[in-house]
Amino acid sequence: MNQNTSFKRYLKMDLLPTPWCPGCGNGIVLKTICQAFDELNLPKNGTVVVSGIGCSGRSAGYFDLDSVHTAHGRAIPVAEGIKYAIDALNVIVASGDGDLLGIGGNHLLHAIRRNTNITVVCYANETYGMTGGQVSPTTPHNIKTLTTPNGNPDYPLDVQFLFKHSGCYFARSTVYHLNHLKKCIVEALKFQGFSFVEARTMCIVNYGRRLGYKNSNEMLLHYKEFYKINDDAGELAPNEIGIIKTNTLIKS
Amino acid sequence: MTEEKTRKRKGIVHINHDYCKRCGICVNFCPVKNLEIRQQKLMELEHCIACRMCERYCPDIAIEIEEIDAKTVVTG
Repeated sequence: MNQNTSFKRYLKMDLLPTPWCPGCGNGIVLKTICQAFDELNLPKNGTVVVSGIGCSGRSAGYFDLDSVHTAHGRAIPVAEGIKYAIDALNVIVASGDGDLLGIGGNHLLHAIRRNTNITVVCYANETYGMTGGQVSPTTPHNIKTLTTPNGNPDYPLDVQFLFKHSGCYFARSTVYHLNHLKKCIVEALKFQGFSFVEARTMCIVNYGRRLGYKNSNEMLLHYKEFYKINDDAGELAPNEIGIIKTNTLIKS
Repeated sequence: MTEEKTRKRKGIVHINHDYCKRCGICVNFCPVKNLEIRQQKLMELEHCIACRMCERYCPDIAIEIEEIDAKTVVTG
C-alpha cells in the first residue's frame, strides 16, 4: 500500500458505502480523521472512537477500531469514562454539532472545565440533518430551515468563546481546506488536554437546498471563497479558520 | 466531425461503482475534465494527469489513481 491509500487500514472497507446522502461532506471528514491517524501511526488496539446520535454518529461503526455508539448527546461523558479507566488509550469523539453543542452542551462545558485528555471532532453542518433539517445551535442568523421558514431569529453559538481561558485546544476548519483540516486533527491528537476540532461540512439535501445551492460543489466553493486561514490569531472572526491554544488563568 | 486532440495520459482512474453515489464532486474538481457522468454512471475519458484532486475530495472513497508512464492518447 502506498502513502495515498494506507489510511484505509483504519476503515472497515467491506461495510462501505456509507449511509450518507450523495454530496454529504461527512465522508471527507471521516477520511481525513483516518489520514490523521495514519500520519501519527496510532495503534489499532490502543485507539477508541466514541460517537453520539445523528448522521455523523454513524461514522463510529466504519472505523476498524474499538468504537461506542452512545446515547444522544452523551458521547463526551462516555469518552471521559474510558479515558479515566485506561489512561493509555487514545480516545476520539466523532459526532455532530447538534449532538455535542445542542443536546450535550452541558457535558461539553464540564469537559472543558475538567480538561480531560481526549480529542473531539465535531462535524458542524449547521443543522439537524437526520431528522429533516431543523434549526440547530450553530445555524447562522436569518437562515431559512425547516422550523424557521422566515429566517432564524436567534444568533449562533460561537464555540471558541467557551474555550476562553480554559487551557484547552480549539480549531476550526472546513472540508474544502483538506490539508488544514488534517493539520488541525493531527495537532489535536498530539495535544495533552481537551482538544476540540470544529470541521465545517456541507449538508446539501436538508440544508443547502433550502438556501439555493444547486449541488454540494457550490457549497464547497462557498467555503473556498468565504473562509480565510488565520493560524496565529487569539480569536477567530466568523469568516476565519485556524487554531487557538488558549492559556489558563486559573493557577493552583 | 470532432476535432482530434492528442493529450498525455499519466494516470488511470479506478472507480468503485459499488461505493460511488454520483454526487459529482470529482467531476467539478477535475482540472482537465477527465471525468463525466453519463447515463447515471461515472466515466473516465482517458486523459488523466494524476493530480489526485478527485481521489482527495471523494466523500465515498470510491476513486483510486494509479500512476503510469506518460503516453500520448488521441481524444475526440
